[in-house]
Amino acid sequence: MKFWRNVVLMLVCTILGVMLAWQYKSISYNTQTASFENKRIEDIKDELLFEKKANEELRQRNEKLEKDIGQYQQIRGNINEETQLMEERLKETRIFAGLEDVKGKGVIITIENNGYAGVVQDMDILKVLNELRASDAQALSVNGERIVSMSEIREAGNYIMINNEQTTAPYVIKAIADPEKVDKALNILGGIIEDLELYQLKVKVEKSDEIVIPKIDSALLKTDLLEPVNK
Amino acid sequence: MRKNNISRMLFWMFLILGVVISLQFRSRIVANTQKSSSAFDYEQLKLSLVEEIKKGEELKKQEAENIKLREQLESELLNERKDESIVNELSRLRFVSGLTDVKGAGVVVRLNDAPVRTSANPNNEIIHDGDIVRVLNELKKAGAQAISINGERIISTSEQVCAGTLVRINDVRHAVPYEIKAIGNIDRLELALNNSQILSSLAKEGIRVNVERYKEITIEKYKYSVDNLISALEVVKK
Repeated sequence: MKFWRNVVLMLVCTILGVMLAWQYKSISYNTQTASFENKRIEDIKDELLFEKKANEELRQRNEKLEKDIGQYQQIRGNINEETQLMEERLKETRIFAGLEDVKGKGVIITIENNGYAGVVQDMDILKVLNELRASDAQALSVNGERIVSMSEIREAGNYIMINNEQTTAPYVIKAIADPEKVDKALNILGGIIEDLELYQLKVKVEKSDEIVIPKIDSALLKTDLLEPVNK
Repeated sequence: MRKNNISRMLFWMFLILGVVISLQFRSRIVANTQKSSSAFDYEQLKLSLVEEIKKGEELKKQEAENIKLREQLESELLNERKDESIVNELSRLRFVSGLTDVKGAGVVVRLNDAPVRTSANPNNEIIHDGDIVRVLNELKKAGAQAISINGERIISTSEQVCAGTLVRINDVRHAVPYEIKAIGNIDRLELALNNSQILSSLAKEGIRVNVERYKEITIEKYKYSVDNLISALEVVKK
């Protein structure tokens, strides 16, 4: 009698123990999978939003292109309008190449050394430029040097070389871009401004209605090692 | 007396057992319903994402065709008028600003995440936007004249930013491996890369880095319309 009672007790205890362990595991597993799934859903939502925005922009660009094409076909034979249109196209391409002084709304970011505690490095400038590009800046300059596709930022001791020109702190980075958008992107929590301040640098961001950005010296657009590909 | 004690103990044990069983049962049910609803959301979202990406591909193809057609109409217009000066100037500007395919001697840098995640900080074993920015700057310092990453021509406004595990370049997201092509003086480019801090520190983290020289590489043009890249710029009149 006593033996059987002990056996029953042992069995109950064993089951209880297993159940407790199982319960514990399944709860922690559930929370884990739930957070994992949520993260994946968040990621995919971000991706979807990004693609939608990109497609919207593509649609707008296509509309403009189609308008141009229509215009070309329409003015065929009208010498004056043709000349005007081609000059317009030339001007646009010159602007795109960075060969015109341009102005527009934008921001001015000044980064200054902070004694010996914080010294501006090439990477700081590169990061700010990259952030500005990500917020759709259309023209950029650092200390009066127009930033084009092949502009280098070379640290050389106390100064930084940009477009082969020597410049020193404070570094004044100008960008023609949507000021609100840039402001948001720069000042975001854990963003670039916080980053720079963490390195003890003095940073100032100003919005401006008219920013003038100088053109690049055409001699700096080197192409002597490039050959056009004929299709 | 002893018997009473034992049955009391048994009573408590069965009570706990009962509660635990019902808890466990419930939590399984919750888990199942939760899983199926979030899995459903996920599948739905994924479907719309695939659809949106497909739409994007089509729009890009359409854009490329439109650009080609516009250029064709332009050259027809110009040829009819035999206006050599504008033709030459326009094609020169396009050539220097990255709007034409170019070829020349160059180097190709291939970067890929570390093959197996080993270190305590797997974040160091994947390639970040800052790494690509640095590599590009090294190439520019060494006098590169044209650069592309995974077929995206680098122009003055090309960003390289992280978007999840991908990197966004020219508003298009790209995954590893990254293939960075640069045309310039091969010796200078190679030397700069081999001496650079960035490539050696990437290699040290286990990231697969490979630099190769080529007698001739082709770098594609900037494939998209530039209209939206200059829309806010006004020429300053002197």
